[in-house]
Amino acid sequence: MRTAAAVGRERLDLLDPHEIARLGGIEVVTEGIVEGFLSGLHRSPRRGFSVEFAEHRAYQLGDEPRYVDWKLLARTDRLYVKQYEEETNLRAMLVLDASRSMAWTGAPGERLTKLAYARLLSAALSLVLLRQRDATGLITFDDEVRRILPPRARRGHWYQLLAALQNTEPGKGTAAEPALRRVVDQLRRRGLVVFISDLLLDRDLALKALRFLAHRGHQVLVLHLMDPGEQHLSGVIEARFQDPETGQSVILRPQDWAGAYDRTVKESLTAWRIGLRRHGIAYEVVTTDTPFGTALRHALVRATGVA
Amino acid sequence: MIAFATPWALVGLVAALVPVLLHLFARREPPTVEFPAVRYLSETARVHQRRLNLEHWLLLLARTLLIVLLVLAAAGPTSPRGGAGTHAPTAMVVILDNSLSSGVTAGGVPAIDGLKKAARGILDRATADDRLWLVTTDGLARRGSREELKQIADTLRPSAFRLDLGEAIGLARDVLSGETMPGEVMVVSDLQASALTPARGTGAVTVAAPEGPIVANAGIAAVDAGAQPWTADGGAITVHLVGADTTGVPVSVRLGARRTRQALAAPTRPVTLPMVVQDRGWVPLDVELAPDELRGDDSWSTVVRVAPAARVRWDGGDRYLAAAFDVLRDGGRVVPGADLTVGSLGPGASLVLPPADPAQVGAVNRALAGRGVTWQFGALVTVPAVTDSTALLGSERLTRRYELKSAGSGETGVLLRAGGAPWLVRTGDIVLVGSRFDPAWTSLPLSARFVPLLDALVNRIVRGEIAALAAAPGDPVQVPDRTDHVAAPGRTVTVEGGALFRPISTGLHFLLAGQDTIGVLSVNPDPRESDLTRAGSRNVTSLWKGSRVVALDDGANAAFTAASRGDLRGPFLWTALVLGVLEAGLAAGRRRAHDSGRSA
Repeated sequence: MRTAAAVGRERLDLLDPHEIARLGGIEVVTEGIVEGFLSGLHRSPRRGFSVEFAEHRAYQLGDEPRYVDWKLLARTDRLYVKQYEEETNLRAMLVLDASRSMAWTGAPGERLTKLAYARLLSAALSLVLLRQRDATGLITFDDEVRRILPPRARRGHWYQLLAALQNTEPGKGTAAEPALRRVVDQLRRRGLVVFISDLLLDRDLALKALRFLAHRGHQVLVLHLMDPGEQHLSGVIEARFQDPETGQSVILRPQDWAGAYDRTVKESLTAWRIGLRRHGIAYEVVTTDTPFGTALRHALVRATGVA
Repeated sequence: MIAFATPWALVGLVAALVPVLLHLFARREPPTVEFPAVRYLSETARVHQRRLNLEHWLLLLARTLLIVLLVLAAAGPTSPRGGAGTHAPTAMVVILDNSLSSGVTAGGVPAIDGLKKAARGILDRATADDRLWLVTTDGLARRGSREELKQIADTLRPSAFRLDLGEAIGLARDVLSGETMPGEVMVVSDLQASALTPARGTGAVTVAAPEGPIVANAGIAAVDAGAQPWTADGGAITVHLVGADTTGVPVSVRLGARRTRQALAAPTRPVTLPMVVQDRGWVPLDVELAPDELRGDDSWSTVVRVAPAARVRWDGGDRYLAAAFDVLRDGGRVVPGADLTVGSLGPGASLVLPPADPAQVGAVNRALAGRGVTWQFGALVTVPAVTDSTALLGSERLTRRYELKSAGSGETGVLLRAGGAPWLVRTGDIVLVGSRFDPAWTSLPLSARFVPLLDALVNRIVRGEIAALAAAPGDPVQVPDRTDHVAAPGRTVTVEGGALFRPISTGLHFLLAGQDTIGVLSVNPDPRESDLTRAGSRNVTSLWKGSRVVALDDGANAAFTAASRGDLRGPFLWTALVLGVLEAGLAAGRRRAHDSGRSA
């Protein structure tokens, strides 16, 4: 096990999610993840474009002279630099699946449940967006919409998001369409929709809703959360495998079916990818053993094309 | 047909149930595991269930067959090998059943023809390297070349003999036991159930037998002329039939010169005909049945001894003797007279009993010696004994008896023994009995056998006459001591008195002592030959271990295969190996599918 000191010297965004989650509360952990993530980002070639003035700040040694407000210098004889805010501030909605299937892990005590992983990923993603002054909101759902936080760009809004995420308990079934429909009410103009789910739901209905959002001009990113135990069937003893949401069950011996199962999963993921990309919807499979930094990078690349 | 060297190992076949039981056991309700992605499993099951089921059953089949083959291989399986001209050198004994029953005609064809044809076919398969014997009803194992034995077989006719198949197989096995090459016994027979007896020895036996329907037949089982000799009053003839023909069969009976009498009889219904006779001495009695498909058992020859009733003088003070002779006298079997004295030594023929007073034994012995009798009364024996069971008398308990000692060089004239010692002996017309006819000496006076014994003693034994003996052809018969010749039909044979004589033909055989005829041996077919009921294959295989039954026409193809059996362990083990590879391949395939799925 890593010591706190050893962990402190490393970038949290690249460590094992389960190990990170044990370091502290969601706020601390998420900030650590985001700090690590941002420090590893390359310099953006688009920096300075499409921004508008936001406020003044006292000049400090090293600030670029081109940002010095010369008119204010003339009036006040003091050096101030201008600070800018992106003119087209992004409005983002995180849509989080909190159904019962999300509360499952294939390795209790070793891996986070999909919901726990999604909480931390959502918190980190929202923090990154808010730091960019993008208004960020949250919708949680299971078989119905549980919580809606409208998008806000205020820094303090992140704490509301954290509280909402922390209070998100696993529900029963999964019905994504109503939640995705509610996004339209929250994003009046074009924005970013991040749909985080294990996608164990009605695919046709979900695709229909996601396509609707894409057609409304929103940039849609689907993060397909999977436990590694769902990707690959393992085990020797015959067992009755039961769906916690529907109660549907199948009796089989995993070693007999592993190959066929893996092919089925692969085909299903391909079907999702093709079905979403056809409508310009970004799709990324994230397993719960993926470091958060990697997941964030994939998410932001898919969402903005820049990282 | 596959046979096994160690059939007890087949018990291991129970192990073949293990995969099946495991399969059934695995069908129990398994533990429940929570798994959200059941929809993927359902989809997978829908698509791949049939293939996986097929693989599963193939694996189960392969594993079960693998165990079965290994167990069978452990049991040492062998199978017939070779064919015409390809067999290994073999010592072959062909038993050709030309017994009386082989003379039956079915569809106009004698059964013997089919048997001979089958035997020729078997012999035709022999090669120069084989050693061949032929056994027929005469009980001899003839060694010869293929052509020599075929010639013998061709000339065979239905014999009057009965063939005991168990005895014949035992003889064949004895012959083969001295051979180094693989031995085989081929039995070509009509396979009468009555001919089946246990066979000594071990070894492969192939029975070629006809399969057609059995001919209904009736034959003469026995002819009973009652107590002999007959007196001038005549007697009664009872004819017993045997066979599967339950309908009435006309029976003709002719006694001496009397006209033939006829009646209707059936195997379940013997017929009795009262007869009168005018002749004296040995009177021929011929019984004939209406002809049927088996002619050999339709006639019966015997004799009836006709003589006047014995003129007997008996001791009226002996109440048991008196009561018995009263019965015989009332029945016309004896008349009071002085020809024969019963109880003591008389002037003529005598039936001598031990004296009631032991002090008189010496006097009796001296008197016997004076009459030239070689037997004398010895010491009194009080150790209980039982008489030997013979046609003359059954087992009778003796409490007291005198030893009967022979003064001659041997024990000639012994008629009956008790406890291994002579008890009833004869010298000329004097017969000695070891015990008094008293319940204190023997249970005989209280037995139903007492009167018939006295009848036989006074009417036949003391007279020196032997009642007609009966035998079947080939049966050993002990001829009386005085016999020196046997006049068989068409020939006269010199014999030694007291030795065994085997008649080889049916008919009347007169036993001669010099110029005197002292008895007749009636030789008639063994009644068991008349019952043509065929034995089933199961009877044969259970009675003769390692045997098999084939159709008569398949006899040639089945020859030279039982003794030369191929070892099937190799093929079984190779098949098991192939199955093992198949099983491993199937299992590995499933594992690969599992592993490839994981790495995908």
